[in-house]
Amino acid sequence: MEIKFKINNLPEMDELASLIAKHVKPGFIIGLGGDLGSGKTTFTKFLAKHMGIGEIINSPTFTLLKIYQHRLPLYHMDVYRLEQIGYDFELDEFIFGNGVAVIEWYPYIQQMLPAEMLEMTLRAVSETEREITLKGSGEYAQVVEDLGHRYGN
Amino acid sequence: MPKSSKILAIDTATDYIFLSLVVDGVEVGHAYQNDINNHAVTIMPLLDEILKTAEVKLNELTGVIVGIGPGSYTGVRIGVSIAKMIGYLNGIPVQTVSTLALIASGSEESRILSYIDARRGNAFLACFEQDHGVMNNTVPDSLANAVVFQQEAGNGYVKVTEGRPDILKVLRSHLLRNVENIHELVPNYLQITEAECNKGKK
Repeated sequence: MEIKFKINNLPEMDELASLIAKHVKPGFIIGLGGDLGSGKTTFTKFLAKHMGIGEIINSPTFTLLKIYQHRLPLYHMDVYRLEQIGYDFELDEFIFGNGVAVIEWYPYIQQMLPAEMLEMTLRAVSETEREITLKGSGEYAQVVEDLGHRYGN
Repeated sequence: MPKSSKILAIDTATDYIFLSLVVDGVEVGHAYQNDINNHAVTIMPLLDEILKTAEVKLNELTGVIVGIGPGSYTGVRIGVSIAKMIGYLNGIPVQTVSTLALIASGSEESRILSYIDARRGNAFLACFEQDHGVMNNTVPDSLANAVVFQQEAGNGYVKVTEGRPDILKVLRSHLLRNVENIHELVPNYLQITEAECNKGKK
């Protein structure tokens, strides 16, 4: 299942994150793709907010992983630096963990990720507009379908 | 009076933290608890408590046994580091044991398939047989497709995924390896990262 739509500004990104936050549960995996500045970390900030996490979210580009302990923990990963290096098995406990895993630059480690996950690709159209592609199979197909109702696919 | 034997066993390669103190063939203290992703925080206070309760000082230990995996990539290093530190600083001999053997030791089945999920359809697996409380390793530690292994090498064995290790059984069986040079003690990951694969190639 795949849908493509446009969001026009930050409040709409906030709304998208709030809609996805309604579906998250232990073991939920979100892969974020898209160039630098396309909004991957911004999306994650909104998602964390809607999961009830009060902490400040910043990009884990240099740390690979940041853990936000919460009723439903958030494991925020950025695997950009693994491009030339390859997978780090240390991430397994978080990707296959009891929280929500958000993986920025997930295509770099895609072969190590489960086939079933929510794949979200962001593309900058203008300063504030973003084209969003959402893809999911298995359980995640339902999530994409639900979002399709809102975004008119 | 002959010097008494005081052996500390440590394993942190699974969701469970395992510590055991054996004095002259009797397990006088132990911990076995699930504290996923928190071994680094809980191990020292647990160890401290076990030693204090048994009135044994670290430098009185006569041996350390450490589970070297396979298992959790993060977890295994905690136990191995601590065993290494205790062994090195106090000049205590260290022995290693497979984490899969430790898991198997907790079972009373005669044919045991010890199993740790390695994700992506794979598992860390090994087979053991036991007779009169002594275990033998019949299929060595492997990383394999979980379904295929169970149908083939593991056929006829009872799958065991967790359970408190029976350290006395481990001590009776031939499952321990002596560490000759403490600096060369490393975990048995069985799976290596691409970075490690590529290290020797350049």
